[in-house]
Amino acid sequence: MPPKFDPNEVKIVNLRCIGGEVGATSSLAPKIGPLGLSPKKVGDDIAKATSDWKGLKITVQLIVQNRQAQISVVPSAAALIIRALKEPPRDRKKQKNIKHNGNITLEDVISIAKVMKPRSMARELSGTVKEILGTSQSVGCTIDGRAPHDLIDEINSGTLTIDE
Amino acid sequence: MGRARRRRRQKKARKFCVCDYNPEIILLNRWLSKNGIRKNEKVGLAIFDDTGRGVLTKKKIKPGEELLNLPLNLTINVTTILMDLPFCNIFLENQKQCLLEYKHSISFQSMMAFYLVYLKVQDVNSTWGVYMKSLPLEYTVPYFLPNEIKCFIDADILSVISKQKDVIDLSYNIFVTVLKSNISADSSVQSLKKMFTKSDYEWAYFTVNTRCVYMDLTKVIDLSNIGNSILNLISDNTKISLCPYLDMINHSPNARNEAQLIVSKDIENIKVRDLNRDMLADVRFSIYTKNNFNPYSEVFICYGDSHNLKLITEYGFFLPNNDLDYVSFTFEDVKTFLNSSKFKLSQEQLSFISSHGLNKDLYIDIRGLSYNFYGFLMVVKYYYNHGKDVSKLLYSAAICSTDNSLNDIIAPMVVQKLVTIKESVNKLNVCESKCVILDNCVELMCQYVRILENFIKC
Repeated sequence: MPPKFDPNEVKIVNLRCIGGEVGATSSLAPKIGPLGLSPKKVGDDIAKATSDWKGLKITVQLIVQNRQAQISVVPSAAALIIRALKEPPRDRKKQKNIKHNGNITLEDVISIAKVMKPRSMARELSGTVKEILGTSQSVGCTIDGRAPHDLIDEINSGTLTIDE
Repeated sequence: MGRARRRRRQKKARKFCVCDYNPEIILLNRWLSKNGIRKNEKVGLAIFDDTGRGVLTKKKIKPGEELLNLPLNLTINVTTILMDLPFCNIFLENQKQCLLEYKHSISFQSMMAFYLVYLKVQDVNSTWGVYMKSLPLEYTVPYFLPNEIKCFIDADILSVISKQKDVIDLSYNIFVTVLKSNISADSSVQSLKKMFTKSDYEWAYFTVNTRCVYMDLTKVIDLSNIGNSILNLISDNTKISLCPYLDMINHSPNARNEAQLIVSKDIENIKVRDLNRDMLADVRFSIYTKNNFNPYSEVFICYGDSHNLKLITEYGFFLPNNDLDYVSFTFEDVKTFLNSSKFKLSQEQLSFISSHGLNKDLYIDIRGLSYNFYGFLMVVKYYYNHGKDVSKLLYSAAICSTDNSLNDIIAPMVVQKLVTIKESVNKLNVCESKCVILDNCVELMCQYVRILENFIKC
């Protein structure tokens, strides 16, 4: 018996992949094959839908209903920061251990924090900004030429305020 | 273009007839407004040439617009049944200990169907009388096909019908027994006892089947502590509901919509024994569309998965050129066929197939073999092929290539199935008793023929 709009009919599949590249079907096939989707077609669709994230490791969410997949990118803080660095495209196979020692602005950090706000546990935007600054430190970039942790200290001491 | 010509052109292009002014629809609209429905002012009811009764929009509808907003008390759901004490007493005031004897043996859909018959017997005396009058008198599902025609129908349709029949028969017999041993003096129960027939129950069952929507009330009522209520009888979940007016909107696979329950924060986990209408007055059910609808076009929603087998057997209509249709094969049939051919399955192969879940969802659609069927045949062909690891093949790019030699393995079985379906279609075509249900079934079988012919050509 089928109630109309049963959400259980919609299957959600999450995948990690490299943006803009047709991923290995070895990770795709076991997840989406049994749902009646062609791994090759979905792989091509993912590559097309993630062309904005070329070369970045991102999480992709597939919402499968009626044997059709809707693709959406679930952005991670690191991926958003690396995208903001505007690094030149590179061949992942040839160039390894890349250092992301570029620079982004505080405005970039705040706009990334706004994107990440719904998934952040912080009560205020300044908390999310601090999370993003922490990720920036791990990525290895600077914010307006300064170390990310300096900005975190400034936010904590109240010298730097982030408007909601 | 002058006014007269423009009007004539508009009139000619319209393929519907507005029915908002029919006496029973006026009554229904009046009753709905009195009970707090908030529907989009642009919509009204009409009878369309192709889809029958449906909802028409008189102005453009944009994505994000609310189509309908109903109070929970205006829907027939689990709380409606629990709050109807005379109905609950059919089971509670009984010579039999129904709650123990039939514990977890009735589906919620069957209980809803029984409740609908109870409401139907009350006729205009019930608060739902106007809604009951607005329901169709018959349904076009294959369940209602005469037995002499059923024998020519495709096996997939037949298996769904037989499952429906089993559920209906089982629950009907339980309700008849319960009614016989009932000791309630309530007049509506007494009249239900006299007038409860199988045909009414079948009608009610398919009313629920074709019209119910998903509504999760687990946050509103506390279903973990059901005490001595009739919920003890229910074997599955209670997440279905009948929504007046919403059930008039027809299905389109391209429609996108969202439904949600709007509950204020203070209403949470209400105990079953504390339920009352006032408490639920602020709970509403709302449906939004994500599509554009032009003025004077039909408004559609998407019911969910929409391959024709499901649409015909559960809702009673057929969508032409539906890409989602498929012809399924059972694992047992394929195994029997392979064992009779030169490809015999070993115990190792069978355990590999079952451990990788390749024994389910074996079907052919318009694009060819399903992933599981393809993987299954790969195991059949390459399992003992030295130098080829079947797991690697299964989960690598090779699965995407079209390996026609795999199709050849099952081609004789497909041809056999094609011939059988064609023969059945020919017999049904010469059948004298033509009806919508039969036409739908024939259409679906013709679709199967097209899919299989396409597969054989490839």
